Order: sequence, then structure tokens, then C-alpha cells
Amino acid sequence: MKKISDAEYVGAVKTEDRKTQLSLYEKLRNAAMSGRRSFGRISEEELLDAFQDSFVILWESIENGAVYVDGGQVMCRRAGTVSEVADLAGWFMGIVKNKCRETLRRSGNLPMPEPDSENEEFSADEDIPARRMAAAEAVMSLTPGCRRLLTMFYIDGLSLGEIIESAMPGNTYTGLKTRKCKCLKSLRERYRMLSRAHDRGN
Amino acid sequence: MTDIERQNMLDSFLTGKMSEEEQRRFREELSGDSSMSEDLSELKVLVGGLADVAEKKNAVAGWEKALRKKKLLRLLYPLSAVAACVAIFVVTLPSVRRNDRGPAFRGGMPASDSVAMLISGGRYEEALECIGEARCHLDIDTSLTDEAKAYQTLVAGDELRRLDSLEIVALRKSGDREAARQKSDEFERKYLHQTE
Repeated sequence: MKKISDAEYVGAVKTEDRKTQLSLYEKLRNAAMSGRRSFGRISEEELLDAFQDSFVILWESIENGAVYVDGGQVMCRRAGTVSEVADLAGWFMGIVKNKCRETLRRSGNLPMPEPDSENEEFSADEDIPARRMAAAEAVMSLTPGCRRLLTMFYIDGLSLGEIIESAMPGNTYTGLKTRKCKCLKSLRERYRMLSRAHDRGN
Repeated sequence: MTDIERQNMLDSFLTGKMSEEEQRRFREELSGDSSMSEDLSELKVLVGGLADVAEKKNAVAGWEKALRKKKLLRLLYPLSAVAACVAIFVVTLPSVRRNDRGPAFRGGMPASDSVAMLISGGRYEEALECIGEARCHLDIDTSLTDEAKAYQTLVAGDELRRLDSLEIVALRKSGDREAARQKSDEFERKYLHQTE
């Protein structure tokens, strides 16, 4: 089987070559799942969620030009600076690690926040609106419950009553409405913070 | 207008839950309220982000499903090969056992030994029954190839010969002399002429 280089993988994601993208997903998945112990006391299911979120971030970063190929080398644009990515899988594991920390913090298994400055806040390509990238990153930073609620409301077009009935039984209408407001508020705040960071970077 | 009312209005507009009349009024209000207009464009970007992420998450979930299926198939291939081997073994075992059968055993010893013990104990009827039963086990399978028949004859031949001679003895001892004489003639034809 032909070995695919990191630059070829990035190119495949950019050109929407789904077959190669699936092979990248498999490669990174195997790497992440086999190194479970290095991510702390996280369950397999939580790790898979963190991995999938990280993969979406990588995908967004490539699509928005924050991760790109220059002269056969994978590069990363972050907070206004450009750096070389020597090993895509190793670099990606940094994102997974951060996602795992977020999960552990939420479940109370990691008391002190220890954000890894590596791989945080990518800067979009100047040609592509940085806002889109900031929005996607802000969405990815939401709790899974908030993301689910807002997706059902804004993307699936379900009313709060329908959400209670189909996916979140046990919630009252007022309770869910308050929760939606809080989630949206948190999304806006995170988005504004990331937009400012992107503006400073560009 | 409170913040909540304002948000409800933006939501209704974005999710297409406003009537045409409500939309017209909302647009009018929007043109005179720059802050609301900014909120709407920001919300549009955020909803775009939500859609983007939801689309990618769906794709990733699809890949995960495909990978699990692939892994399951990888696991099933060797298992199905083992299952096929077991099935072949189970189906062919009876014929293998029939073909490879040695002398019929009874109570851990060759049937002829049991028969001899029964005769010496004066239990002739039982000895004759035992001979009949042992012969069933030692019958040559007519569906076999000539080569297999020859092999089976070689393996079971000695035991059959002993059983035949013991049958003559049992018949004589039980008083059935006529039958014993007939069996004796058969025995002579079968074994003594063969050796000549």
C-alpha cells in the first residue's frame, strides 16, 4: 500500500478527497485510541468524542487555511505566526490532549485548568473570513449538551417543545429556554474573544 | 423591548418562523436599529458555524460507523473460516469414523473377547445376539471405493473371522446343530478356500 505523506493528507482534506480523508481519520484514530493512557483518566467513549471533536477542528483549520501546505511542507498559522508542522499525527495529538483536558475538567477529574498553549486558536487564511473560523472554534468549545441544544434549535429547526419531546425529556420549557439563552450567551462571548484574537493575529 | 424578546425575534426570523407580515415589520425595525442588525449578522455567522460543525460531525460519525463495520468484518473473516472448518469436520466425521473403524469394541474389549466370555459362561443366546450386533458395526460400507473397502476389510477382517468361528461354537453349544453345520460350511467357503 502506498504511504501517504502528511502534505498529501492535508491536500486531500482541502480538495475534499473523502477516501484519503477517511484514511487520515483511521490513522489518527488508531494513534489516539492506542495512546489512551497518556490522556489521563478518560473513558474510551469520552476519548472517542474528544478525538472526533479534534478531527473536526483539524478539518476546519485545513479548510480555512490555518493549516496548509507550502513547498511540500505542512505549515500552521496561529496567532499571527507561521510554524512548520513536522509530524501531523504528533501535532494533532496535542489538540486531542487539550480536548481530553476539557472533558476531564467538566467531569471534575482535573481540578486545575492547564491549557496547552500549543494548537490553540488558529488564524485563518487572510482570503477566507476569519469570522467563520472563529465561529466554528467557538462552537467546538461549547459543552456537548449546549452544542446539541443549539444545533437542534438553529440547524434542525426544532422548537423548544419539540426538543423536550424528542431528545431532552425531563426538562421544563422555561428551564430549557434559560439553558438555550445561557448557551447562546457563552457561544457569543467565546466567538467575540476568538474574533479579537484573530484580528490581532492578522 | 427586553433582551429576551429581542432574542426571540431574531430566532424566529432566522429559523423562518415569522409570517410575511412579521418579516416585513422586523426588517423595518432592523433598518432603524444598528445594534439589532449587528446582533443578527453575528447570530448568522454563529449559526453558520453550528451548521459547519454539525455537517462535519455527521461525516465523522459516518466514517466511525464504516470503520467499525470494517473492523467487525476483519474479525469475522477468521472466525467464519474456523466455523467453516468445524462444519466440514462435523459433516465428514461420521463417514471418516465409518471408514476408519477398527474391530468393534464392547465394554472396553474386542467384541470377540466378550462373545468368548459369554460362551464360556454358558450364555449362548446372549453370545449370538452380541455377534449379530458386532457384525453390524463391522459391516463393510458398500458405498465406499474399492480401495477403502480393502482397507476396511483388512482392519476388521480378523475380528469378523473370530466372530464367525465363535458363532459356530455358540450354535453348537446351544443345540442348533443344523445351523452350526451350515455356518461351518459357509466358514469353510469363506476363509479356507480363500487362503487356498
